[in-house]
Order: sequence, then structure tokens, then C-alpha cells
Amino acid sequence: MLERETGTTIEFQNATDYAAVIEGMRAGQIDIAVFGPFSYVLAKGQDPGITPVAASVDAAGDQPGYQSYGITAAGSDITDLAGFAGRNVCFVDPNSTSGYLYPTAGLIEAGVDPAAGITPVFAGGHDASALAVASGQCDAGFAYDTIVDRQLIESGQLQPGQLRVVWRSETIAGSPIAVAGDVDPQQRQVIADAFAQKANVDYLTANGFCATAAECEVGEEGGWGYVPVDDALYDGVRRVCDITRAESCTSLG
Amino acid sequence: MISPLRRAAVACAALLALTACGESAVGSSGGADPGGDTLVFASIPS
Repeated sequence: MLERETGTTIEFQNATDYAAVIEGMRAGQIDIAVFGPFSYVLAKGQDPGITPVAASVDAAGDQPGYQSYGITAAGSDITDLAGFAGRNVCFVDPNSTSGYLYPTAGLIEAGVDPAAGITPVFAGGHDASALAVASGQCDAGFAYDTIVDRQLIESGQLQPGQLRVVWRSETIAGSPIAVAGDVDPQQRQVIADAFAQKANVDYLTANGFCATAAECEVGEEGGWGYVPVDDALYDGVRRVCDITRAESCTSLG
Repeated sequence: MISPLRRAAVACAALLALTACGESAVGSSGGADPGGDTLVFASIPS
């Protein structure tokens, strides 16, 4: 599809790490790349010419991002992040965007030291964090929105209403497709339009690029396709970095 | 939400619908043809 839209051959290459991708873009060796939200912000800082054009969504009409939830058991006396002070608090792991970085920024903003002001517990997964809160192993915790709203309920591991959401993060931007600064602006627009309008299950199936919709996975796991994004969507990542000074904000992995 | 390694693996698989996944490493051979007929699309493998 991209080859037809751009009138070029698309060569897909594996890079060893994001540092190699950024260097490849600066050296004119890479034209288009998939970044994580934090690695994109780092890349943009090193090469302002890099432009995000699209990010994947799970369903048509979705926004390109998701939220972290602060959660308690339904009967808890905790009603906000300030109430997490002095409690056992479940996180996912120290590198998790929605399971640690955004939550720690939220706690700091609520006046709670995420290290000394609570007893942090790293549950190892979003499901484990949510279930530990539900079972009372943690007084409160964090997990991403869908696992609380839908996945654990659909799997029968949680009952509706068993957890209470006491905090919602701002939208956490999804992983962007970005175009190198030396790509011709007209070509960049063609690429952006191709992702926004045609890189989705509906179009690719209807036009024979995928045999069936069920076999047509676009973007992240279970994704529907891509929607347009711009650099401003990643200001939330920059803000979290300013607050937390997390390693993810300065180190490419 | 999804680990970087998992995301990279999924990205490569998902991009198959858009183009073809190659195996060459960036910088080792080939590379972009600036302003030419090839666009190089990079991702991080698992």
C-alpha cells in the first residue's frame, strides 16, 4: 500500500536500537521509523526535523493514546492520589509508562513522594497490579485503562465495580510513525495521508491487501490502524519527564 | 501498555500489511536512497 501511494520501493529494516534509528535518520539512511513515545521525544530533541505523522489505535474513531488509572478496592477510604500517602501502592515496573512514569508524576503533583511517601510494590504487570489492589495486597495501585475497564472483567478475574478509579492521567500518547527531516515535504505529506486514510484494517481488507479483517493486524497488537498525530500530542511526555527526571527521558534503549 | 520488545515484534508483523519486513541491519548495507526511488522504514526488532 505504501509503495503504491508513494510511488517508491519501501525497504523495511531492523535497527539495533532507537539510537541507531535516530542516527540513521540524521544520516539520511532511514526515512520512516516507528518510535515509542519517550524515544520519539528524545529523537525530536536531537533532530528537530523528525516529524510524527501517525499513531496506531485499537478501533476506528479512537484517540491515539490511553490513560493510566489510579485504583483502589471499592470499599477503600482512599479517594484521591493524596490518599495514597503512607500506603502500600502497586506499580507495574519502573520502566512502565502508564504503570509507573505517569503515576509517579501524578503522585508528585499531589504532594506525595513516590519513593519515601509510600511503600511501592512492583507487581510485574498491569493485571497483577490491578488484581493485587482488588485482593487487598496493595491499598492502592496503578494500571492502564483498558485492563481495568474491560480486560480483567471479560476474563472473569474481576467483577464489575470491584475496583474504583480515583485518578485518571492525561492522555498518554501512542507510539508514533515519524518521518525524517530530509524527506521531501510533498512526499512526507503523501506518507502522512497514506497512514491516516489507508493504513487501517477496513481499507486494507477492502482493497485486497489483507485477505480478511481478522487476519489484518495493523499497528500495535490487535490494532485497527493509524490516525494522524502531531508533535504537540507528546507534550505530556515532556511534562512527565520534567517532573520525574526518569531514566527513560534521557536514555535510549 | 505493551513492552518495547513486544511492540517491536508486533510492529514488524503488522507492517507486513503495508510493506515487507527485511532482515538487514541499519547501517550495515543498503540504506536509503535520498531523494530516489527507495524509502527505508525502520523498526526495532525483538
